[in-house]
Amino acid sequence: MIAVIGLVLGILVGLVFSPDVPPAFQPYLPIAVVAALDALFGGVRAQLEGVFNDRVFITSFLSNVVVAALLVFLGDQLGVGSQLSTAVVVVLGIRIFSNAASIRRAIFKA
Amino acid sequence: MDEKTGPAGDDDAAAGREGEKHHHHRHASGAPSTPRSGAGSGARNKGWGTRSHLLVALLCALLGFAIVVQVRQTRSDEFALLRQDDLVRLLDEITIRNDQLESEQAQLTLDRNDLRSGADAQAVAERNAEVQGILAGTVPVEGPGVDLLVREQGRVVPASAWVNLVEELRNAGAEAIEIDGVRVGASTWFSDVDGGVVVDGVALTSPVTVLAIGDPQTIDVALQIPGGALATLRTNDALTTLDSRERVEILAVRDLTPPREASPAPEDAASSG
Repeated sequence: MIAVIGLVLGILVGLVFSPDVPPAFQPYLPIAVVAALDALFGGVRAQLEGVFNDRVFITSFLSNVVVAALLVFLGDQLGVGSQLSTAVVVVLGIRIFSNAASIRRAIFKA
Repeated sequence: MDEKTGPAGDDDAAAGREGEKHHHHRHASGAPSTPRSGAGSGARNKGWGTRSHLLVALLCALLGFAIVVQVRQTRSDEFALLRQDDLVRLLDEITIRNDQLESEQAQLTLDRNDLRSGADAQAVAERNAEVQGILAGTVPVEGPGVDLLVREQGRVVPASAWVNLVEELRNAGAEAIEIDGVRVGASTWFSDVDGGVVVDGVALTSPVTVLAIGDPQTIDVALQIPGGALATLRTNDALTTLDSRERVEILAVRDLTPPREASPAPEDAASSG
């Protein structure tokens, strides 16, 4: 519940202030957002399955974001930034999908 | 212990079994003698739980914030998500397009200037035609000038003397010259024939009237120069009478034959238009 409140609060803050992304972060923010979404879906799934753990959520959230950003950074340095970004997004997308499927099963029992 | 729980104890008995901590916690207030370890671990867990909950909320807030910012960014800047090589390609295309547009603009500017000057091109053309008509001798002219009467005395004045006279007049700034009814132009020629001189195919008969339009004073001085045109005429025994006039009319005109060989060079045609 508090997580939902935080999410809404963050969206509101973002809407109110609508800051510009610093150019240095621009390539990494979308990937970081997708990684965080993956962590969020994982958290929701764990919550529904009754195995939610704050510590696991926080750790997975932060590590997801950092690893995704690092991968993109590394890809940019190696000249395969766009391909690696795509790869990261694909992998995270698959994970989000499987988590969403689990959530669906937990909610609708189907 | 159980006696002190009161009426709520019945509910608790069923639910309480699920967690020892929970049980202990319920009774912490009722029983001060409860071991501190139980309450302590509960407080520690609760503290960690609150903090981690706040952290979770913070992370979720961060996520929501980032999502909104990113969406805004993507909407506001269509190039934000493009990679470097895509941007370079775009820049190249824009540069090429820019060059094309610039050359097109230069062409259009030229066209516009042409059209704009075309408005008074008619007037310019008329003025040009007038000036060129005067210079070429195709239009009658009038203005200040001199009237020279040449009377031959027995001897024929040779063609060279007439050419000399025309050159002197031109040097003195005469803009139109007529000799014995023949308008002098660029292609005028003199020729010695038996018993006289022919100018442009017309024989000169004494007395010859020479009309010239130009500054009378300048022409007068130029012709009177010792050893000049008049002197040459006199050495050929001719009598000369030179009059300066406010108004001289030269009504004779030349017929221009279109040039057969010469044609305007393209650059000249463009610049003179």
